[in-house]
Amino acid sequence: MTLWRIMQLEEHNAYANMAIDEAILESVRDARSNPTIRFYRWNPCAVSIGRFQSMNDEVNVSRCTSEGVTCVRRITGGGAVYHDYDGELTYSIIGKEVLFPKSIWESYRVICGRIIKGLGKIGINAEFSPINDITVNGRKISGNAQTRREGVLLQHGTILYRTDVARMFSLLNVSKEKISDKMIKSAEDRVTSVYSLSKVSFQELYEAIMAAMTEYREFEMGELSPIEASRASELVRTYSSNSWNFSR
Amino acid sequence: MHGESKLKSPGEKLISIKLTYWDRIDDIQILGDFFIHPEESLALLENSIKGMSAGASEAEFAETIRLTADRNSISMIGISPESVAKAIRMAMS
Repeated sequence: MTLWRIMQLEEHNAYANMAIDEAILESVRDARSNPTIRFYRWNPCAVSIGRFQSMNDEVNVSRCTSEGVTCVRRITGGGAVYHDYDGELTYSIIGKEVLFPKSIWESYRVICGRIIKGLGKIGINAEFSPINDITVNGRKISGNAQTRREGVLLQHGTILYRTDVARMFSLLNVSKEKISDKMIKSAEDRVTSVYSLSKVSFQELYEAIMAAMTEYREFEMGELSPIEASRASELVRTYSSNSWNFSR
Repeated sequence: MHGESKLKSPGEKLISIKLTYWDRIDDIQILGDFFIHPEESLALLENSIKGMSAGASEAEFAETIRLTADRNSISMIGISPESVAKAIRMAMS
């Protein structure tokens, strides 16, 4: 049975969070680290955009700057996400591709299935909404993004806990095309959150998702290795650079 | 000339095209919330469009993208050659 490393809930700034995910990916690729599941928050609050998005198109950058919200480009595709410190839980799962279904679609379904199971533990009946979302009654409660490189799969995703929807959409630019086929009046109607559905604490959400992600897995609690920490420090320089974040 | 378009096809992700063209396409950016694996290969898709006639049909753009994706084992998720081609034509209309 594969031994997983579980990294307990941490908080970092946006650049460090993305750098740590990538450093772990490299370490797993080089067989220096076990496959890893980590949980994290974003401090300060941040906006991340997908690999193929334009920062200026997707994000109200001046407003983010004035409100101290950090903007970062992910290595994964997908859309722009507002990461509120109090409003969401983020996870990443990183392991050799052989541990997951070969089909990208199926691997999303399997990994998101764990999140859905976790939400079920706190009384929320969620469902997988291909390609990469989890929804409750058609409203998004979790977004997920995956990359595969050099034999390693990295998927990170967020679970909306107590979202300040008004603030989210004041920081993101959402085009009318984006919501055109969703049968909804506005972008705000697209999302829901854990607290609006089940009055659990953030800790209870975390424990439910942790339990679902570790179920039937052999695991040990772990931390970033010195090599990973050193590499993450290097990668922070990339993730904090305008040449990366405003490359498109 | 500069052209832009946005297209959200049912069941797919949002595609945004920004291009410059005269009789041929000089430059193009394919943007959006889709997924492409490996991510670096988006540049191959964009480069395959550069230099094509601005008068090329939607089918011709789609075929070029499909061939480039097939030859380079590029996985396109939430985006298709047909929708990119349609968005390219929209950007020049």
